[in-house]
Parts: sequence; C-alpha cells; structure tokens
Amino acid sequence: MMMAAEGNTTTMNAPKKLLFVLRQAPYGSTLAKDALDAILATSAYEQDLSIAFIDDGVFQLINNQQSELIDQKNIARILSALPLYDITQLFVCAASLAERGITLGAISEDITVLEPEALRTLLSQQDHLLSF
Amino acid sequence: MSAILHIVNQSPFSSTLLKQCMDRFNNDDGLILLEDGVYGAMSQHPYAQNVRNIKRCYAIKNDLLARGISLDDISDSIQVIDYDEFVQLTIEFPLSHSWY
Repeated sequence: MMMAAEGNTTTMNAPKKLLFVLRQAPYGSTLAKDALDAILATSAYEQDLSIAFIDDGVFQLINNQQSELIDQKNIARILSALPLYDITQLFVCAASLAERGITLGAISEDITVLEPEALRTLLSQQDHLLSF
Repeated sequence: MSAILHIVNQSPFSSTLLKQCMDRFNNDDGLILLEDGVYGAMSQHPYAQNVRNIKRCYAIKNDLLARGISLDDISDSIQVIDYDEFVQLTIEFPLSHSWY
C-alpha cells in the first residue's frame, strides 16, 4: 500500500477527508482484506472516511460469497458490518459494474452508484487517497 | 477540487492500469509514468492519444533509458524528469494516487 502525499493544510485536529480506493477482486490477493483492516483501524480516529469500489474492486460487493470453501474470510460479510463502525459513505463506479455485468440486485450494500464524472469529482475532493 | 498526481508503474501493452487511470482523470490532474509505466510514453502505445491530451504528463528518464526507449521516441507532450523532480511533484500536487 502506498500512502497518498500530504493533502491540503488544515488544522491539526480537523477531520481529514480520506477516501479508500479499492480496485482489486476479493480473494486473488490479500489487498482487499488488507484494505478492510486499514479501514477498520482508521475508523477509530474519527476522520471523514469513505470507500470507493472501482474496477475489479466491485467484485468485493457481490452477494453470496462462499469464501469458506477456499479457507478465506468473507469479504462481503465484513463489508456488511461497516455501518457498525459508522462507516456509511460507500461508493461504487457505475461503469465498472456495467463492464462486468453486475446488477445492483447482486449487491447487498447500501451504496451510492457514481457515474464517471461524479467519481472524478469525489476523488478530487479528498485530503488523502489510499489505494488498495 | 484538488489536482491529483496519478502514478502508473505498469506497461499499457500488458495491463489495463493506464486506461483505468485515464478513465478517472480530471483536466487539471497530472500523470507520472515510471518503471514499466514508461512504455506508456511511447507514441505507439494504445492510449497515446489520451496521454497527448494531458497537460502535465511526466516520465522518469532513467526508467526510459534503462529499457532502451529513446527520448526521441516518446510523445512531445511528455516531460522527462528524474526521481528528485518526481518527489518535488508529489509535494506540489495536493493529492497523489498510485495505480497498481
């Protein structure tokens, strides 16, 4: 994971806008799980935290993952627990869903679907981007 | 809106990273091509036209030369920089984003 460069200068205690950009499928690498660990850890620091699922990252959202069959923790189940940590700003790239033929019915999360222009704006409005 | 410095380190001939980055690119953003990403500086690569339209596009000189890419073979719009200048750019841009 590479940390984004220092964002706009703000006072020490003001919450920063952090966007976790998740671009990898759930089980092909440890990145999806690593991202969730980082997100949950970050949630303890009361920052303005949001998550964007783009490219293969949208595969993390699919319902009915049976990851126990490959001895992996269930990424979708962890995602569904995010509201318990007050993480509610979830976004998904409409184009990435469409390219992969994934309908919203196949996703359980309460999530905001962003068209390309809105996604570009979301990225540019952060203090830090964290890429996984 | 803050400008983002996008960092791409894989070849556009074997990876879709550069396209995925371009799809999320704002007008004021910058692009740095490094490691195998410098193959994206070649004028024949699949998204050469898109890269030409970027106002601030950079490629790392040593990564180009190490791969035998002549500085004459890259698009005119791309600025060739060294790693010190890369670090300077990460300071200059309010945001940076690594694609991998």
